[in-house]
Parts: sequence; C-alpha cells; structure tokens
Amino acid sequence: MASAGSKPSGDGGDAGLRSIVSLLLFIHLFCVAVVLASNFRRSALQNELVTRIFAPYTQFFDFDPNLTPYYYTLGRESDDDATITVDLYADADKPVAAQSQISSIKLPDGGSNWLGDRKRYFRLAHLMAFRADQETENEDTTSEIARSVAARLMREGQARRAVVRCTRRSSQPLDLTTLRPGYPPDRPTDPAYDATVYEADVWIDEDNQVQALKRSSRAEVAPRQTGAQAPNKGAGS
Amino acid sequence: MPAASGKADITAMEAFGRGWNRFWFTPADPLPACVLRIAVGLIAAAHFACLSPELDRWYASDGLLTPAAVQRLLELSEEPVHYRFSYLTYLASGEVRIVHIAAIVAATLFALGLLTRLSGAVTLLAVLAYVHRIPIVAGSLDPLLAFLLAYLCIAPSGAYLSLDGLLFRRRAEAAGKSPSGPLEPSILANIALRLIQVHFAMFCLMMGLSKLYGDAWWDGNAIWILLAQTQSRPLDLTALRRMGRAGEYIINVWTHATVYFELAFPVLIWNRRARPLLVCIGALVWTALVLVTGQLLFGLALIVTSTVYLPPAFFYALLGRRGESLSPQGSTASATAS
Repeated sequence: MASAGSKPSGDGGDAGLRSIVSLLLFIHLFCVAVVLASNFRRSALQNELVTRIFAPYTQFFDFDPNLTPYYYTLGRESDDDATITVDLYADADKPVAAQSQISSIKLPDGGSNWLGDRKRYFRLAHLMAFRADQETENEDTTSEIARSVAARLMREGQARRAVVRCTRRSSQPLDLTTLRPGYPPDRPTDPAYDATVYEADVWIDEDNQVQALKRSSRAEVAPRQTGAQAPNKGAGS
Repeated sequence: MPAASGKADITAMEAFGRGWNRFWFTPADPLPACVLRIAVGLIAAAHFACLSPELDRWYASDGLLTPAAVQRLLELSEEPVHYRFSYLTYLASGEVRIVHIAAIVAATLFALGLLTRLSGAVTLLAVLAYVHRIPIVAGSLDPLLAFLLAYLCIAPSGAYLSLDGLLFRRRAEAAGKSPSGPLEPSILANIALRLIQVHFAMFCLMMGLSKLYGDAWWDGNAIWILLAQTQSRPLDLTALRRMGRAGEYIINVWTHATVYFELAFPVLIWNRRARPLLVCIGALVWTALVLVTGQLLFGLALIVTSTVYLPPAFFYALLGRRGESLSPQGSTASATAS
C-alpha cells in the first residue's frame, strides 16, 4: 500500500508508467462513456462498438447496464404492472377442464416492494407482456418464458400440466374524469383494470420435454379484452 | 502567425497534460475510499441477503429461467451472450446456497476491511455472477455496485477503519516500527476516487438521458404513473390526487426535478462550490425516487456514491475528527490522523 500506490511526489512516478496508465484510463473511460451514452437507443456505429468491440470488457464487468430500465416508466401502456399466474394440474394427458386444479401461483407470490425481490418478477412479466403486445410481438420470447417458468413451478408443485397467464393491470390516470366507462374510479385494483395479454398451456410430454402452446389470440382468451385498452379516454393523456 | 499559433497549441497541450496529471496522479487521502468501502460492502451484503428468500427459484440452474432459456432470450433480444459468465449456471438448487453464503461473507469482510482487496474482488465476482446468470431481471443496483467494487479494489481502501489496518499497525508495533505506512496519501486512492467520480457522473447522465425518451418525463406525469402502479409501488401516495391542482403541481415538480437534477448533476458537480449543495439535493431527489420506485438499496447507493465528490475533511468530520486530515494533496505523506 505504501509502495507504488503511494508515491508521494507531484512530479514523481515513472513517466512511462504514467503514460501507460493514462492510456488505459482513457480507453476505459471511452468504453464506459460509449456504452452508457447508448444505454437506451443505439446508432449503427454505437451498436457495432458496444456489442462487438467493447462487449468482452464492458459486458463482463457489467459496465453496460443495457437491460436495466433507469427510466422506470416512459408513460406507455406497456410500462404498467404485469404479473404471471400459473395454474397447476396433475395430469399432462388430460385437458385442464377435465381435472381439478392443484394450485394457482401468482408471481410475485411474496416479498417486499422495497427490497427488489418482487421487482424481478415484475420485470419478467413486463417482458412477457411487452412481447405479447401486437406491435412488439415475439412469440418465441413469450413461449420460452412460459415454458421455463411453468417447468420450475410444475416441479415445485408435483404437476405435469399448467396454464400460464400474463396479466397487465392498467394504471389510473391522475385526472379521473378522463377514465373510460366501466373502470371504477374508486377501485384501481378492480378486475376491470386487468387484461390477460398472454395465455398458454404448458405440459411435460412423454419424453419429459416441456411443451407450450399459446391458447389463442388475446381477444378470445380474455373476455375483458374490450376493457384492456388504457383506461384513459385520450391516448395521449 | 503560424509560429505563434503553433506555440499556443503547444502551451495548450502542455496545460492539458499538466491538468491531466494533476487530476489523475496527485496523491490523495485514502479515507474517502475507506468510508465508501464500508458503505459499499454493507450495501452489497444487504443486496445478497435480499436475494436469499428466492435464491433457488431464480438463480439455481433449474430455476424459473434456466441458463438455456436465458441464453435463448438474450439471443432473441439480439444481445451478445458470449461474455456473460456465471458460476451459478452450473449449480442446482441447494448448491447455490453455499456460494451465496460465501458471497455474503465476502461482502461483510470487505465492509470490515479484512483481506480488503481479495474480499472486494470476490464480492465483485459474486455481483457479476448474479447479473450474468439472469441479466434480463438484473436490478438497477448491480451496475452501480460493479463499478464501485472494481474501483475500490484498486484503491488502498483497507488503509483506514479496517481490520487490515489494525493488523498492520499491531504488526508494525510488535516489530518496533512506526505504523505510518498505510496512512500516506496515495496515487492509487486518487485514481480510484477519480474513476468513481467520472463514472458516476456519466452514470447519472445516462439515467437522465434515458428518461428523456419518455413522454411521461416531459409532461410531468412520470411520478404519477409510478404511484398509480397498484402492485409494484412501495407506498400508496395517490392521496396527492385529492389535493386537486396543488397535487398535480407537486407531481409535476417531482417529475421535472428528478430529470433536471440527473442532467445537471454530471455538469455542476465539478464546480467546487456547488458540490455540497448538489450532494444535499441528490439525497433529497433520490430519497424521493425511492418512495415511488421502492429501490431502497439503489437509492442508498446513489446517495453514498455522491459523497465521493466531497473533500476528505468531510469524512474526518463524519468520524468526529474535525480538523484532522493528511497533508495537502501532492505533498509528501504526513500522518496526522491517528
């Protein structure tokens, strides 16, 4: 601690070493500046730098918080809270209508909103809901999440079939006079605010592989879908 | 004229070089790094402890998102996957708990300042392991912790307020030597503190810039939207709506203040006179943000990190040793602090 690190003189230190350290500092800070400046949107050049050239360094040390939403909300409908519910059933071969439900698990199923443990579930559900939306739809993403989440919960609950449902709860506007009819202004947790954005059957087949089948289009699976739009009257409000 | 211009360029380059050397290579008191080490170590330990209840479910190889599923999801989002390594990928339920306890112990040792650089490096490795296991759900705190730990490993952050320092002095006393070694101003301390300052300024700018993309941060409603999330909000502050126009204005001010502060901080923090004020405002803004986002440890880490811009005298005062400090930066070491 008292050797190279504490060389005291203002002029001191080896000039060559100082030059090398200066170069390393510049390279490091340049990499950090580029990845942070392109955290939300990237040009083609930034994308090339961040994902190809800098990635072995900035990604490994997590200097690139690319997947972390520091904006918290952008005011889009897709930024509203979403949750994942998994209904568990014992028999993989019988349809769910023909058997009784073992249990229903709504994620997050515990924890505190102060400590980040529930946030992980919200982030996952948010991704699922986002990828279930028509404009940003990606069925590979939603089915991958459905299969993986259901596989774990089926194992925990000794089940072989599950129904995975992703539900988004629209938030109330500040001005309640702009609420659409059908949304109770005094109950922001009323089911009218909830919309099922994704629903799939997941089961473990005879080869012990987890299979997922999206049930149908959102309009068919969610009777409340007419109310699934933002409860605001005006889109921009 | 060209000759005069060339001379001016050389002078400007020399001035820049001198400024660069002064900024990066002036020996600094390691005390701020040592205080920061304690705070960062405790926050990291608390962060790991918060992961404990859901550890197997999230981080075991047979967790909610298996390593294969994570890889597939990253590929689908066109994220590079080759540079993400986590030992958690190879550990099943139950096994994860053993390394998790080791991570908590390492973070605690780092806070205590025992084997400081080693415990800091192990804590950093643990933070990165959780991030890389499931980057899709990594929190806001992880990138902040990652760079703080990395830079504090460079600094002699175990010099003060640490078991390492205590053991060093005991050994020196036993050998009949003056135990002044670790109390010298250090170039490494300066480099680490400067790296934290520059990186944190860029980090704040990034937080502010990312908010500018959303309409809600422009029209003053972003804080309301966070308050209106009935499932993820930590507190129900929707009573503000009952205050009518005044409530709306409070929400507008709250929203704008958050963005303006995060954009102004990285610029104004370099002004010596503005620093204490900005650190105080930062504490208010980030505490207020914790009330709507619930990111308690992240808010705490932001507030703690912002103190890195304050002079060593502040940290001596914090320890009740007002008036004490090492000799001015750049001069030879003199251990006035006991």
